[in-house]
Amino acid sequence: MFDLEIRKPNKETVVGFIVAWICVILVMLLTMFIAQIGA
Amino acid sequence: MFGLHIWDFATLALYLIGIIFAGLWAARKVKTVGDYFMGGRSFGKAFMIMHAFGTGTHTDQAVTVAGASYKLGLGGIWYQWLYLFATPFYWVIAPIFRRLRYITTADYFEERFGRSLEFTYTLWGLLYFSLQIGTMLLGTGKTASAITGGAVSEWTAIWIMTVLFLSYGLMGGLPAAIVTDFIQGIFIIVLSFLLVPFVLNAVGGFAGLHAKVPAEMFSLIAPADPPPGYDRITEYFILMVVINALVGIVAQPHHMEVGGAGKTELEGRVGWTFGNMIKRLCTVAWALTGVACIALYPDLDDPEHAFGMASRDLLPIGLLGIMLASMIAAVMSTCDSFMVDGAALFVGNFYKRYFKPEASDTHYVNVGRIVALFVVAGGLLVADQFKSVVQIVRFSWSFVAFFGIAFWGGIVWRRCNSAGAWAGILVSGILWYLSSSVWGWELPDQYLLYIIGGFAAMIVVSLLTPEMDTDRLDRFYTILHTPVGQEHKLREAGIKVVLE
Repeated sequence: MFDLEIRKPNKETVVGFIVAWICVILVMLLTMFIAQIGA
Repeated sequence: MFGLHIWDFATLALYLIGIIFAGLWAARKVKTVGDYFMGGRSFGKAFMIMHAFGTGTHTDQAVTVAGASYKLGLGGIWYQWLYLFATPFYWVIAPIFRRLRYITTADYFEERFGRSLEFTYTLWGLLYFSLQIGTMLLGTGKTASAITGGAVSEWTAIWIMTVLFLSYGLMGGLPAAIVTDFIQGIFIIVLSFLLVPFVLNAVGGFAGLHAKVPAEMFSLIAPADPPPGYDRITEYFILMVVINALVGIVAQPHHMEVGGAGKTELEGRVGWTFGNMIKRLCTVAWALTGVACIALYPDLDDPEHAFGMASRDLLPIGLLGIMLASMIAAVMSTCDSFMVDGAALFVGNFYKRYFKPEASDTHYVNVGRIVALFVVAGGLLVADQFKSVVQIVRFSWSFVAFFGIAFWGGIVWRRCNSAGAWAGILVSGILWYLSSSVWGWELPDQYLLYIIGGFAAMIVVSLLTPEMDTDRLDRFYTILHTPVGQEHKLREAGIKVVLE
């Protein structure tokens, strides 16, 4: 019934996706760090 | 002059003249419809990053986040960070747009589902662009008025910006937008960070900031009882906003060119993902400015004036002009793209389809220029109707998701048909109306209801109605699964695309 048109991701997709998540985490950590400066 | 020191005025004038020349320089490359509306798919990574950043970032966002942070604390950052956790998914989504090889998202709806959805999406897309242009102009007009101490009225500022981006955008189309976005993107980064050292200095540094602002205002989770007009930003709120963003992001009508104007799929995904990542960083600076304004201006009637007032009061001569130039840059870099994208929708999916199917490229480009003027005029009308920037932003968050449900259905599920796509859009729209306007539910509950309801309706109705034509589906999925650079496979299969 649900014959989905999703293909296995290639290496570029997987690596870029992981790098993008690392960037998100770094942005969040940086924000939390800045919020604590001077506290 | 206009409430500005002569050096501030000179800085601003120099920037504006420069940007118009850059836009007109790019305009000389425009020869065809593909050039005007899609830049000939010729742009590299650096231009695509700054284009995605410039198109996705506007002054009103800085104004909104600074205003929300002034009221809610650092948690106000979520008024723009709602897409933070969605950003990595852009890496996965962007190639879809480049690979489909369409000019507009309405082309997708026509190819996948038929003309009724194409027509409706075109109307919605034109409304969306006008709504967004109105939001941006209104937000920036407010701030420019605040910065000049009222010497330049909101509407004078709005008209000046409009004339400026029309001056090069009409001639140069998307190439002019992308080239100017590169310069304007740099100015937007300046806009974001220029004020931070001055507000921190004014409150006595970080130590002074913590001494003057309550500790709870530094939490990324906003207070449980926010003031009227603001949402209760909790983990659940953020989760639902991200899910809604992922559903709706694909249906924002400008994303076909943001993902599709690059040379290859890699340019599209690098530009879209990391252009937006720069925006997430800039958002931190906007929120910090808003929190510092709590200490600087404890009793502001309109929190959305915080950013502009801090600029006026704290920036030294010369830098205020740069700040104003940056604010205008942030608006123009988006409005020019939206104006061209709106024209592409009208020309390709309405005028060419129903009025003049066979005409020269020059004719379509000229019609596009006229339509672009109307899109902007619509934006100005909208700006006059809506008084709060936040109100417009909230309205548009929901609307894109309705079409997003149909978009995703068509991409991932072959059995999804036109009736199912329509059911998804209509049911989600009805549920949104009931939950927001009749039952008065909170935003995340509205999202949860209409996303589940919309997808469920799409699936059920698709299964209960006949499958779509096999040839049509084969053609669509062949295009979708053929990477850029392998167009010979499409030609061998007898499939023509408008612009490779």
